[in-house]
Amino acid sequence: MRPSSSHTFHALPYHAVLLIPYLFVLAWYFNHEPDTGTFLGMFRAPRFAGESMLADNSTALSFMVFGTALALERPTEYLRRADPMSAIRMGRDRRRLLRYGAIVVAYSAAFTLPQLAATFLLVKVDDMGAMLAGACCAWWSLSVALTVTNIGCMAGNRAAGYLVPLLMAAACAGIPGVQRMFLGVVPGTQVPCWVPALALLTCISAAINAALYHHLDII
Amino acid sequence: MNVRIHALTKVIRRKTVLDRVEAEFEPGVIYGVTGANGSGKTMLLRAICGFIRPTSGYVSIDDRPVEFNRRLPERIGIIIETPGFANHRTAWQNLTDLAEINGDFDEAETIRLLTLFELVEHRDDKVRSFSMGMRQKLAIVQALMEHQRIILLDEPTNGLDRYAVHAFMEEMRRQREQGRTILIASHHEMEITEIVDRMCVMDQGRLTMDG
Repeated sequence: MRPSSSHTFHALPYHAVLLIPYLFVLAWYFNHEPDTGTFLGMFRAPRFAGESMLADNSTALSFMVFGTALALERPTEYLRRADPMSAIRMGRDRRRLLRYGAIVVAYSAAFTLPQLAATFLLVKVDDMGAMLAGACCAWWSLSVALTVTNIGCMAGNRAAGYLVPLLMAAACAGIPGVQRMFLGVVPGTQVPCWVPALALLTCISAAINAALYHHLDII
Repeated sequence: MNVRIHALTKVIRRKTVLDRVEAEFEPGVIYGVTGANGSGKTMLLRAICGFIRPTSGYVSIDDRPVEFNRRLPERIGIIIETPGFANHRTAWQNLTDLAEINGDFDEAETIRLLTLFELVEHRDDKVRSFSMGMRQKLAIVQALMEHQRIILLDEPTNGLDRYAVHAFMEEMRRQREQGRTILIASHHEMEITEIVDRMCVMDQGRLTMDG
């Protein structure tokens, strides 16, 4: 119902510390031939022959890993928090679930946008459309990853909640067939395959999150 | 309002926290619920509110089953564990925020309760400056301010000084006269004996009622 501001401010220094290794990753990326056509958080096919797919996607994987970690499960905490004083007056209403969704989306955007801005500032972008589409995909993928980790936390298996999005990201980054499917376009259209793929994952994740939310005891 | 517990069982991670609890709580009576820590007192109050999904059995209020995790049509005033106030808002703002949810704010009653618990002069202070006892008093005020029909209080005298405990006892008697159904859970049996009409004892999830 109400934000826990003191909690948020307490966490800020730790957030800053967690951000440092990611800033090193970004510094390395921008200093070593950054991709001029693909957003750094987006999966890409190897640019050079013989290059490992996983190595070439290390920034995309870092984007997902740090993006998920830096949230520090705050959205999950918000969703699970049930102050009896307000819960008894409101019940476990849908508004909280919707606000949780908005928090996840806003956090992912707040994580993605500065990096997109840095890319525009530091890199001579070849293909503006592809860069924006890549940023959109990275932002959406991160949102889905956060909701999947939330499923693990709410279902009492936090490790699985983190493992599943990590495996999904690794599959997109390192398995050629999966990556081709993800980065290809829907036959007969100009729509990238990641749009329906992420839409489907979003629906599945949202449905599971909603079911767990409504079935979870307020203990 | 009549609260009935029908063979209520709750198992959490293979541990039976409520074990076939049967009870009936009538209006105009103060019930005390005692028992050691972890005996199931708080879980019983949560079950009455619909905060937990029973493994079997159910709770009914005036013969209507309480639905799990749903807003209750009946007004329940409650304190369970640490009261979660917004620290950056004043005591008064916290109370009005909560009252706005039900859309029924009785300013005169709220001021009466704040005065009773010696908080009226601190009503414009931010809750972050409150001591534990002051927070507890504020929690009692929020539990009573909307003329709730059922009052569930878990360890309500935690952190209260002698004057506040006395004020609390007097207020409970007043609420009883108004026909409220009152449950007070405490592991300090002696502390609540003075005001309760009937005492219930929780032991390993089982409830026995005296008298």
